Amino acid sequence: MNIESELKALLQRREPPPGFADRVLARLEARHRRILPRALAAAALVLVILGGWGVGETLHARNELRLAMRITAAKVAQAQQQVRSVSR
Amino acid sequence: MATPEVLPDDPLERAQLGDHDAFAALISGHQSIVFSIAWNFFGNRDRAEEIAQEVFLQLFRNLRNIESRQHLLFWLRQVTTRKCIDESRRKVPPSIDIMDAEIGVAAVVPDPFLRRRVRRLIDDLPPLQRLVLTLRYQEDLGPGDIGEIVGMPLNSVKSCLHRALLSLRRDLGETV
Repeated sequence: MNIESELKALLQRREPPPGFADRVLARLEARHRRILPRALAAAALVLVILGGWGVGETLHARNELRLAMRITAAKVAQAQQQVRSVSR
Repeated sequence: MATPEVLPDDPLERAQLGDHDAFAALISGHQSIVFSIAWNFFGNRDRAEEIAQEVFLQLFRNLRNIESRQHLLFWLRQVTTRKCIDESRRKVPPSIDIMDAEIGVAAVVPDPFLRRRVRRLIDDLPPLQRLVLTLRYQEDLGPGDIGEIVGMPLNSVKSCLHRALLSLRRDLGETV
């Protein structure tokens, strides 16, 4: 017996059951159907987070501006006082 | 005036551009390779179909990385063999389906007793030997190509093949 020819015969290529490609495409479609709502939900979440971050950034900038204006006002008042004391 | 879009002739290129019919053609053209590697490894049709489907789903996600038809062939063989090995580590060994074993080979191996005996002996081989035998005799690949697919040095492939054949010859020598 020639084992190699037996193996070639036994291990030959064979076709899968009919409709194989359709079954793969159906799984692909089902996967896309599952992924799409998740992707939309994720995109919405990102928008909310970015929006929140934007609002947070604006508030932070406003507070920094207020602080800077207060410091400037204090410095101006201090300078005015020094000018007054010198002129007296 | 808008120029009409010209699609490439190659199904691989068309599939890469998002043409689902071309992807279906790619599946049909390569399904026997992928299915048979899994079938010859597990000896079970349902399991082979499951593995083959997963390979093509993975191909769809990786279509952009496929550079040529040769690369596609290499990629399919490599991913299928890796999935077979991973799957064999994860699950309990499959029971051999005798009906499955007879599909498609009755015409070329006329003795059903011998056919079942050889099939059982192949299924009893260690996974790597079974895989190397499959790539050698199903895909008609040389040890160098098998080494690239399985990720083994040439001499290890040769020795693996030699041990598998020796084991089969020894076991069959007792009965044939």
